[in-house]
Amino acid sequence: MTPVAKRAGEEIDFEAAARECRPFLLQIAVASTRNPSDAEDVVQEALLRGYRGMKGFRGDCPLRIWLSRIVVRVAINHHRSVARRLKRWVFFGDMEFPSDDGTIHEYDPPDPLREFDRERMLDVRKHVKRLPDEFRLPLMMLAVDGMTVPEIAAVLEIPEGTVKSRIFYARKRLNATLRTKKRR
Amino acid sequence: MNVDCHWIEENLERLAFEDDRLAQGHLAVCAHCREQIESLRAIDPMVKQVFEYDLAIARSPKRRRSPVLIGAFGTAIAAALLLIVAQVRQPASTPGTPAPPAMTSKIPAPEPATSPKIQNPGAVTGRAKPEATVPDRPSSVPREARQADRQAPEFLVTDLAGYSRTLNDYRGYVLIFGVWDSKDPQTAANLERVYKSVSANTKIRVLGISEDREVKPANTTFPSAVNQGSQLLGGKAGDIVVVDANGTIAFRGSLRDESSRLLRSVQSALTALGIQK
Ligand SMILES: [Zn+2]
Repeated sequence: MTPVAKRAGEEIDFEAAARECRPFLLQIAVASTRNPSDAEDVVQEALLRGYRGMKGFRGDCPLRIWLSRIVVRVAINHHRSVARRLKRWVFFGDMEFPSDDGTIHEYDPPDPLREFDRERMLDVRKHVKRLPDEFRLPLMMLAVDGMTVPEIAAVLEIPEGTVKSRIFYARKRLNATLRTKKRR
Repeated sequence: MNVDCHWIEENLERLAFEDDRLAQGHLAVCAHCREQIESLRAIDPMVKQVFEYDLAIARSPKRRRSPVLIGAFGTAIAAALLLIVAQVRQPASTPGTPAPPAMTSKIPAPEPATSPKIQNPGAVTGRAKPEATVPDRPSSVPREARQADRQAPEFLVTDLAGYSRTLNDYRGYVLIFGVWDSKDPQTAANLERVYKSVSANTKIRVLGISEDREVKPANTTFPSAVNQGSQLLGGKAGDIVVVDANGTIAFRGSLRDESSRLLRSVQSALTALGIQK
């Protein structure tokens, strides 16, 4: 039996399971948060909450799905609290927080795809970040290593049909935005 | 039925990701609809690149947040670090002094005061660190992890996004993989049927593996991957294999079988594993 598939009541080596899930959870965090430099903090916070709340784990889904749900919740709240904090501190004026559309970031990773038009990718990125959470999350989650529609549905706790239609709406909206821009 | 721009628009969601015979005629003559579908299909690869970019940021070492935050919290953090360093160094430099309270920044880092909420009989100690429970009773995890590592050379594929996958990535899930044969369209078609029949189940993962970087046949939607010279647990072109959540082979069959018979045998293998549709 694998520890991630264990039922409630059976012991779970949380640390080992968490260590194993971590790379996956980081991807979920990246897909969920608007600011990727928060993703590590989000995972950390989610694991802490998960550890404290293990009693609530019924074992009716894999542990990594259960933890992913916490990651999503933390990521969305994290963003909101950062936004709140920003408003409070805004009079300092010189802050370098990444904005909602991700136009400012602290770290510029080397482009792994040399062929790819970086400008265009950053433009797409800006528009992805502007999508409302309910559309952005399923669309980005589809990019997570090995994520499938049923799994996204399990993490977001919405029906598969809803996941599909939201992903399609997100694609369509992005497509429309990018095409309008191109024509201009 | 009249296949026109309107019909294409109505069926866009479906058409964007599968080729449709009805649509082909119209798409051949209508540049507008063709462009619409092509650009829609280009969205996911772009989103994937956005995701990869963000992931690289997330994995990069954190740099300064902002001048304000450094001003406000930097001093506090520096002070805390100094304290930690002082506490850790102390016993080494002055042997004989009582050991300081354990300072851990391990992940996950539960509050020392809370006791573990995880049932772990035989490992109830005053220490709350989850890993403190490990020495008392050998955990099943490292053994299984090692097992999965040993199995890795037997199964190594790359998915379309370029990620390497081993059986370890599917632990906790039932993996159904088929090695489709480009010379026998029946094999991909059958795998598609299997995929459709189980795709609602979140405990199951399906993978269509090709031996070369061959283009997946049209009208197939199963997740695909390319074999990286691994033995695929003995699976050859045209084979279908069901691997249970522990990485043990539960069923072997052939994608060349007649569809309904194949579906039945896969289903009974899943039932034997306690998995309902
Ligand atoms: Zn048309």
